[in-house]
Amino acid sequence: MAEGYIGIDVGSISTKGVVVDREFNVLASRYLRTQGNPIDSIRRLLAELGGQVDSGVRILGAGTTGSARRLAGVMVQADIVKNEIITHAVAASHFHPEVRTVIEIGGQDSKIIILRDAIPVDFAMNTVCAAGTGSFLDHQATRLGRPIEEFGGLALRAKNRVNIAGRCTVFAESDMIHKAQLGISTEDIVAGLCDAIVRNYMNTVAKGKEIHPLILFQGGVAANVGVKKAFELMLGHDVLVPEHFLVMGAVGAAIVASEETDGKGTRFAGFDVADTDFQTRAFECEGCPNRCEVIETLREAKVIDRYGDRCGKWSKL
Amino acid sequence: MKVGVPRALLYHRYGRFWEEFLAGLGAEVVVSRRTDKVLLQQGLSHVSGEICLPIKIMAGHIEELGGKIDVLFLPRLLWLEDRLYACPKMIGIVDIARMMFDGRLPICAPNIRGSFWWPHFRAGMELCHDPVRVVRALTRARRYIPAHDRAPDFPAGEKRVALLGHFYNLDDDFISRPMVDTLTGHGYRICTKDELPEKVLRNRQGFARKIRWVYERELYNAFRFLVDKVSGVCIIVSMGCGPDSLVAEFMREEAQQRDIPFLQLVIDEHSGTAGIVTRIEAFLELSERRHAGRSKIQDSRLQIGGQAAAA
Repeated sequence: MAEGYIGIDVGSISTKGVVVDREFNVLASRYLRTQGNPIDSIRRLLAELGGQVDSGVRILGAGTTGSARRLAGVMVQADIVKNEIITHAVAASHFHPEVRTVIEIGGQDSKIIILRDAIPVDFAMNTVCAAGTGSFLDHQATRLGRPIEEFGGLALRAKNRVNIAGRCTVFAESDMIHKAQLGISTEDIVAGLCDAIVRNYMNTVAKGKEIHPLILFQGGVAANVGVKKAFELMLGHDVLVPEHFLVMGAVGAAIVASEETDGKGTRFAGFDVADTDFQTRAFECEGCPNRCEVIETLREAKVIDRYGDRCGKWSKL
Repeated sequence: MKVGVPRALLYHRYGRFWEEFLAGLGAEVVVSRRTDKVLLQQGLSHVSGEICLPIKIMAGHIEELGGKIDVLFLPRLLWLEDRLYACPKMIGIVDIARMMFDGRLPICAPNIRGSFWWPHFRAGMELCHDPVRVVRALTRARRYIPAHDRAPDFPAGEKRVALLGHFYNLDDDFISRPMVDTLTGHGYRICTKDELPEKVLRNRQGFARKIRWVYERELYNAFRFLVDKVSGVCIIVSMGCGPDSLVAEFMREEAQQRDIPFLQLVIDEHSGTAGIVTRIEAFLELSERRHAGRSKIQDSRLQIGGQAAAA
């Protein structure tokens, strides 16, 4: 029977998962929408991944990453729970050892990772503002009545890229409406939007970073050829979208899981977690004026994890 | 007489001094409770949204004290020796407090210009009218103004990281707890500027001489002192802090030149702990991987060199 590792990346917008073999070749990969319900999406993900490998792979290790990494880790009993900076960097340098810059734009956050000699040395993430991330593009595509998949192609057909204010999602939207009312073509406006996203990224996330090739572009927004083109125009270098750009975080989680377990055996709960009942609930602790919101995860009505308290009163189980 | 002292901003450096001084005058000292979410919410309703987190917190503490005291003790630090200025928002907090109470609460706000002695003497006279007692209280309390003359030890083999930020952010558990817990949880000793000796912080050689803000000069001096003793530098900047954003940029460049991992965390009332923890974890792991990678590269160079010599 084949052996391999499983990596799960649960973000705000999408849930990604891969099964890789011992050389980290991707055997199965899935990309689902989180739809505000990570428990359900993790369950569906495992069911679909299990179906793809047809239970023909013995899992040696499991890793989780992304903003819901903790929840996912508790659910599947992962061997390692790792933040998304490291997993993206690890996966990028595995497939392209000569990479020196990773641009990652996901549903609600964006980051830059600087690598030297295949080692991540610096990074930055967007702070409080989500302007220019995937959910904004999604929203604009819906507003213009175009499927998100076609959106990037539209930008490539632009004749005159117009200037769109990219500092803020709200202003960008009103600027786009204004330009449309002036009679400017949708192609030109969408190209302007791609430029605005890149400009915003360069001024906030990538501020002060030295960007050298090879540049990888990963995360959901990398599917958008318009944004890729805008990056190339801005940076003056080719930008490479790796084959598994959608699931790089998950691949990285699988790789760190292999480093972590290293033949020691796994805690992974198996693909049939999909059939187990999980719940989360939140309550406000009234022990002090901090009123921490404590989140509990329950498996079959038993509390298996708690977090969110500042003092540790609840998180110690 | 109940004299209120808000547990925010300068309290985190001079609190002990003020408590001893006011007690020496015979006042009943009321210090606001530790910062929590409720205090912050109170503060938010009194100040502009654009202002920095520590000022918002200060406003909450002042509001909290309001009904419980007879007079509010709120010294205003304009500048310390060498004409090093405090931040204008900190200078302005007294005026914010006046607006909040609109004359309903007396405020004792000595203006500190360089020396602490005269402004505190005059403030003491306002509160107790007995010059002998004021002088005695001040003389006794003065030793609680913190000043270190020895640097802490930096033993070899210890994992250290510099956590640089203003004392009023770092000493406020509500702000710094997630950062401190994450760093110590990963086995790091935290080095801060406020454990460094006066003569390091007051250094006025080189670029430090050009910095005219008192706490930013301290930050920069602490950075220069610690940078080669730690495996990484993490700085905490309040969103909207002008002086910090400028000085932080110089530190970032210098850290880059010296190849020291550098992380800037921006805090405001929206910054969830999750984002901060993710960043610190990534930062620590980055510096560890970087270190491991570097020694690996050096090892292989050594081997190649060894083989060449053997040949």
